[in-house]
Amino acid sequence: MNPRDPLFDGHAVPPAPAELRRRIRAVIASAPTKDESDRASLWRLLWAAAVLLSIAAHLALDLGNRVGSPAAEELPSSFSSGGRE
Amino acid sequence: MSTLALLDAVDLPEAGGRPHDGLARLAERAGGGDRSALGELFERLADELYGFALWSCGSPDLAGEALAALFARLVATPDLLTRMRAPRPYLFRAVARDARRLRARRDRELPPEHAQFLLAEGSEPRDASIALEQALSRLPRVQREALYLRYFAGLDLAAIGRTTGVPKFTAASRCRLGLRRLRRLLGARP
Repeated sequence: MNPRDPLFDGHAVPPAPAELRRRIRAVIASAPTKDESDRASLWRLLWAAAVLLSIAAHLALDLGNRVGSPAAEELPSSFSSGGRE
Repeated sequence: MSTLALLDAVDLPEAGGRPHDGLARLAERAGGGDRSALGELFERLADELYGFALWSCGSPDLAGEALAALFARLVATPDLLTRMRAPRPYLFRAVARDARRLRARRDRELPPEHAQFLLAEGSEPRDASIALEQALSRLPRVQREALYLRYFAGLDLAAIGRTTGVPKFTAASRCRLGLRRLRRLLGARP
């Protein structure tokens, strides 16, 4: 420890207030452990994969309906030009 | 014996300027998600970090807010702790940066408050503390921070340099000039 300068004799720096300490301890205590954090990451990943799969399935179904639909094949040629012909 | 074990065995000084007191290992454990290690790190450094934030921004409220924000960040992203080689200087820098940022934001909104850097010990008359606090508040921030690190956190000059990002000689001159100016402001004999 460095020698104290006489200028600072009789003075100290205030410690962190007790209320602040309590608040920060509570934040630390509520932190997820490594296992909890890993589990949460895995669930997030699975959830994201499920959402993406669901979107892909909807798109595939929609595309299948359009391609395979007899109505789409039988549309009159005037339909594509807005019926002006 | 591995190199790491050898380093531990010879009790090398940490980059923070204090003898190796296991902070780096504690930070590594905390970075791995060990809550109790983060709690211990907080208990060991809380007063020093709070004091440095206080001397950096001059406001107990903002110093507390900066300390809380720092640990909230460490809770949210513990990986930060595994990446730092010397936790003490890193945490000093981080809390002071937050405190200064908060102070700058508050100063845009409110008039500056009376700085509170010190606590009178024992029967010290309150007037002396106020005079010293006012003199400290008139020092350039970098000199005030250097004085805190040297005389209250107990860092050596090399460690002060590492913590504040300047060469050792600059840290030494900040301490010297800060003390000289403080004495002049207080009308004390040099």
